[in-house]
Amino acid sequence: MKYVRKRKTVCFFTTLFLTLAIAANAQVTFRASAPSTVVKGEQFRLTYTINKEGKDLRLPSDMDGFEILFGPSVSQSYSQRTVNGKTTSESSFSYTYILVAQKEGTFTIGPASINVDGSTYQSNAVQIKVISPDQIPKSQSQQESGQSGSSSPTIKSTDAFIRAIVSKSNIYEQEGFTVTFRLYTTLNVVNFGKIEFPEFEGFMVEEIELPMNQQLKIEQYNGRSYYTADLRKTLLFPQRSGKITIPSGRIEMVFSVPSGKRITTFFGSQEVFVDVKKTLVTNPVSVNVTPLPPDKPESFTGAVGTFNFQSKISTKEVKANEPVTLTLEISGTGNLKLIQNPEVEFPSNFEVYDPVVKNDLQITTNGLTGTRKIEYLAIPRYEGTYVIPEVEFSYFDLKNRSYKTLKSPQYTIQVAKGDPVKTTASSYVNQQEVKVEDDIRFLKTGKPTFQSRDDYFVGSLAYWLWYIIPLGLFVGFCIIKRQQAKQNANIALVRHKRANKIAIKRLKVAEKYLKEHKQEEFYSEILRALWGYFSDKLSIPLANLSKDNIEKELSNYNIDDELIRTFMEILDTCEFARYSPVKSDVAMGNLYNEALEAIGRMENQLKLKKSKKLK
Amino acid sequence: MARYKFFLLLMCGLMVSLLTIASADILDEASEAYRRGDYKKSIELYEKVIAEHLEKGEESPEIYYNLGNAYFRDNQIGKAILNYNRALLLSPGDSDIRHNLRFANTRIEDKIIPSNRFFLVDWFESVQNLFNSNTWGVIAIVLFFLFLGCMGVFLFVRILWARKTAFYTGIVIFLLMIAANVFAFNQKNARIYRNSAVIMAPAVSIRTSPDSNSKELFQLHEGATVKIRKIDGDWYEIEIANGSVGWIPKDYIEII
Repeated sequence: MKYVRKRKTVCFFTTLFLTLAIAANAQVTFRASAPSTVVKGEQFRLTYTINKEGKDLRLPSDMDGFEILFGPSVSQSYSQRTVNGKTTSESSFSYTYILVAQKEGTFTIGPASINVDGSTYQSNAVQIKVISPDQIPKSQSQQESGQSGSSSPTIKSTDAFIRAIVSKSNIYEQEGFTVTFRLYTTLNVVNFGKIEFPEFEGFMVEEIELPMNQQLKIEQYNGRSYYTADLRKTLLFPQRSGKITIPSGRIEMVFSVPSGKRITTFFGSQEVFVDVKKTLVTNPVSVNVTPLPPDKPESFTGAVGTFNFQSKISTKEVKANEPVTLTLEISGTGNLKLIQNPEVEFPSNFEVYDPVVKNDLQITTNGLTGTRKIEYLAIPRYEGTYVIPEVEFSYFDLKNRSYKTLKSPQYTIQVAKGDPVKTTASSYVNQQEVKVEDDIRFLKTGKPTFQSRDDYFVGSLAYWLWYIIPLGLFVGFCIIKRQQAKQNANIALVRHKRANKIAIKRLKVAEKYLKEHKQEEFYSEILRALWGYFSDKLSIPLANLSKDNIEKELSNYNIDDELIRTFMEILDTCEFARYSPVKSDVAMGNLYNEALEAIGRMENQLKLKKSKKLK
Repeated sequence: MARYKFFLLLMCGLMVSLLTIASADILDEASEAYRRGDYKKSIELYEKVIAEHLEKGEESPEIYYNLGNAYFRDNQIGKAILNYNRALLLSPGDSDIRHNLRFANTRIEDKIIPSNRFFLVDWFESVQNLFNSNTWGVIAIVLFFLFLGCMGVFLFVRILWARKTAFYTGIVIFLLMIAANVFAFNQKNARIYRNSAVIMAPAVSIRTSPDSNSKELFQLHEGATVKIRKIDGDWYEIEIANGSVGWIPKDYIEII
């Protein structure tokens, strides 16, 4: 047990000594530090820091422009930390010189050397910018502030102000430039109040992001050095030509200002600071915007800067109804965001969708830098060989101050027949609306027709005659036709009435032939008398008469069948006798009487019927 | 004496034929100028031909149309519309004239929305505008002959169904004939009493009374078509398609 404890103590000590040894051999750091900007004639400190005590500090031999007022004053600090039971210690030694700059300009203080434990270490070199002192003597300004301090502390416009700084004041339309709002102050800023930056009318604005934590810088302005900080930085693209003014903005700020009163504190007499609110107004800035030269190329759409233009097509052989992507890429520096997409003339039976634009841009003080990718998606609908013509992209080159036109190559696309299924699926797009004609039609060629200005056919005499003459003819025709019909009717009536007489007259002639014993003539006369009688009585032309239709017509007239038979017998006898003419006079006499009697009976019957009808 | 007369007649005939040949040449020249894009020259030549033929008392819809086209291309919309209207009056059924007039009317300042009309009126007018007066006259005469034919069938044919058909067809044809006559006379009247006009001034105020100090009602611009209602000295009372009525000085408009 005892042995074990002893072992442990040995262990502890060895580790302790080891760490000490490591600490002793640790890296020696030897650094020089000084403010980067100093004012001529003012004191400043040049400090060399080393983490181990050294001897024989030697300053660089050439300390041109600086005078050592005092030094070195050595101070030593030692710190020991215990973290989680582990103790680390640090010590540092600083050698401080107080210098004063004697010349303006930028000077380098070379490395100093120091001897630590027999070896020599060298520090870093320090670069110091020496600026001229403020033109207003400090003592005087202090006096002034002391005098005015008795009433109320004020801030003069030279103590704190904001400048709007433009990077270029003579620019082209669409050329990018920056505006920086920089705060200049000799006082401490306590707080910010209302901030109203001016409106940038006539510009396209792109904000430049500033680091959240800004180091105050010393800058000289109008012979006085100020602490400066950038409040806002924007990239502007003028949208019109002429003189454009950026109006002033206002920023409320609270400064801590020496009041001029002094109080005695534990550390001695100290000046009392009070918070004073002040509205800072920025200066209005004007820029001259030159319009772009007038000889713009047709494809120019407002791109200004330096650009590259490339194009790519996804495929050159495609089936109908399958998409083709044409990618245009504009890269470079300029007003990339404001560039309009170059126009691509796809064949008219391609279905073209709105292009997809991808911007990959960085804001720089010269404008936007990056690439703008424009992707056109087009779907050919029909097979064939199509040409996508070259795409032109024009821009105004700020370096050469001239327009430049870049062209993409022309693409030839072979479209093969597409799948029929796909076509029907998207059949609604196949119905294309034919564009409405959007212009006047062409001249009428050929021989012109002339129309009289004073004579019109309609309403003229000729026009009315076209009505009157045919109407007259028509009416006349009607009248004639009517009269003819009437006349025809009359003739029939007369013949009807006189049929009896004519028949008897003919029979008389037959009687004469009978007395003269002329057989043939007798029979033919009787036949003629009877045929004529029927023709007149029945209003049937002689040529159309036959025994059959006589029989029919007579029965229509309601003549006795017996009488009809008698007539037929007479006709038969006559016709027979004409061809066998051996008959006695007695038979001929009988026939004559028979015919006479039959006609008489028929007349009676017709009269009877007429009187019956009348009744 | 008779010989002298004959000679005179011959001369007249010769002159007429010469004139037509000359005007045909000018027309070719005018359309050539139009093709070339020399619209001013084209206008000048067409105007010349029209003036020549007006002296003879005749006019051509084709030449008015071509002149209208030349004016349109020369950006004289008012004159273009005037000539299209003149062509349309002579050939109301021509679709080319109608299209160009409609298109030219989209290029003028004033957009007059016509007041609502009874649809039958529109039908009536669109049928009436199918043909010009003479064509309607010929149609009416043809219909009249058909009507007489129907009458004839009705009066002299013994077959019953033919007579019935002829009777009703006859009535329909008679009504159509009357309509054709109405159209013919309306078209003729439109040409005799030309009561439409086109504004020729770039902008002109329409006033409440024929007096330049009276209140301004509205403004019309070059190319607007108006209807003339009354005449009072140097002033016209006009009506536009939306029904508004006002007075305008004579010089600012040209009658179609």
